[in-house]
Amino acid sequence: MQCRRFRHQIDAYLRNDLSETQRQEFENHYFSCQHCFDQLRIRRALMETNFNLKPMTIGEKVSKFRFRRHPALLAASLVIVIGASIMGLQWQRGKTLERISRFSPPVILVTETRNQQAETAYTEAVKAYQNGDYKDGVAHLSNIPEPFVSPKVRFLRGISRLLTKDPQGAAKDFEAIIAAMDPSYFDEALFYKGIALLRQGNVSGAKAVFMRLSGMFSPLKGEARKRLDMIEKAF
Amino acid sequence: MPDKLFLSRLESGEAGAQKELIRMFQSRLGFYFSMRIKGDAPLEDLVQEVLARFFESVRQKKLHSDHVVAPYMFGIAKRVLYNFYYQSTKSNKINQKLQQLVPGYENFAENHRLETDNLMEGIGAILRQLPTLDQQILQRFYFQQESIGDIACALKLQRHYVSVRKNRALKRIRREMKRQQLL
Repeated sequence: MQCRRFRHQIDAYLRNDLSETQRQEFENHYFSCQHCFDQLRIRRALMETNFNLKPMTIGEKVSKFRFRRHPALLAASLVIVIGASIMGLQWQRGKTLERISRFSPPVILVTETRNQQAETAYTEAVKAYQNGDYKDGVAHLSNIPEPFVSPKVRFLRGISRLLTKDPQGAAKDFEAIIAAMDPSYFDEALFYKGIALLRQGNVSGAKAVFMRLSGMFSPLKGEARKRLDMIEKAF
Repeated sequence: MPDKLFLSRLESGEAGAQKELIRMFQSRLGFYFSMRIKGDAPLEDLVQEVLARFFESVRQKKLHSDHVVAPYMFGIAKRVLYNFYYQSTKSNKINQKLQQLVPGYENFAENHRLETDNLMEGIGAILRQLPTLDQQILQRFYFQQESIGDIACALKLQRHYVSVRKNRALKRIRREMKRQQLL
């Protein structure tokens, strides 16, 4: 009669889910009940030992039956599955990198430059940038002779290149600013270099750049930390 | 169990009755202490202490004919457990004491090991004869400690169905083990 009540407590007892009173009642019971004690022993043996059973997949029998007959089909399917998985992973990685490297274009205003030719090109480029015509901006800036390319010009060119999906060119521009150690654009150049590296898929490089920036006394410190966190979470 | 008759056999010191009692309660006591004490428990000592106390009570005629053996044994086990936790008055000579009370008492540790090995081997063999679904359910529920709900979700089955399959499989294992005299 009582056994029925206790049978439902066997698993709970083994998982220590019973209250102390219930536990003692159950222990008292299995001292005199062979059935419950047998079940306890069986279930604890199942709990303590991995019998290394083969994991089951849904539709297992069907797939075995077909593929054993057609090994070529199996090989082709494997190639397709592996290829699709790799492509899927790459696509996923690309999407994540795009999400992390998203940024709003900074506000750039026209300022004076020393060289007349450079000034005209720069002014045109800024106007194009403000209108969202970044390609045109890059074209104007490319006309400036190299000796007259100041950090200001490089920065605008870098940003415009980033926005025209040329992260390699952008990274070169930002590197040149960092190498020149120009204090007006140093922090920004570091930050956007990190973005450019992310867009090239160079996660470790970007991480190093953001880490450097996050250790500096800079208004972009918080933003760099945010990107670092995003990278840590995603990869 | 006809306890009156059994107790009178024990009181008269019948070796067969003593062995029967030990066979009946030894593994229960071992199980009880292993569930109650975490880590390396001196199972052998504790089991022997309970048995020694029981036989001492029988010798001193503390047990009356209206006593039922199992709850009495459980009562002693609880006291021994209490002592283990709070008083630690475990006697190192308990094995000798039990040998005096029950001549020919066999080594608990060796028996326990053999019993456990046989049980594991038997269960493993029976388990492999079960349908794959039942094997999966038991493995997931007991070894991987998943809930019925999680298993049902993973195998795309209904909770009730999983529960029924699990109980059926356990019954089948017990029946097979009884048949093979492993329990």
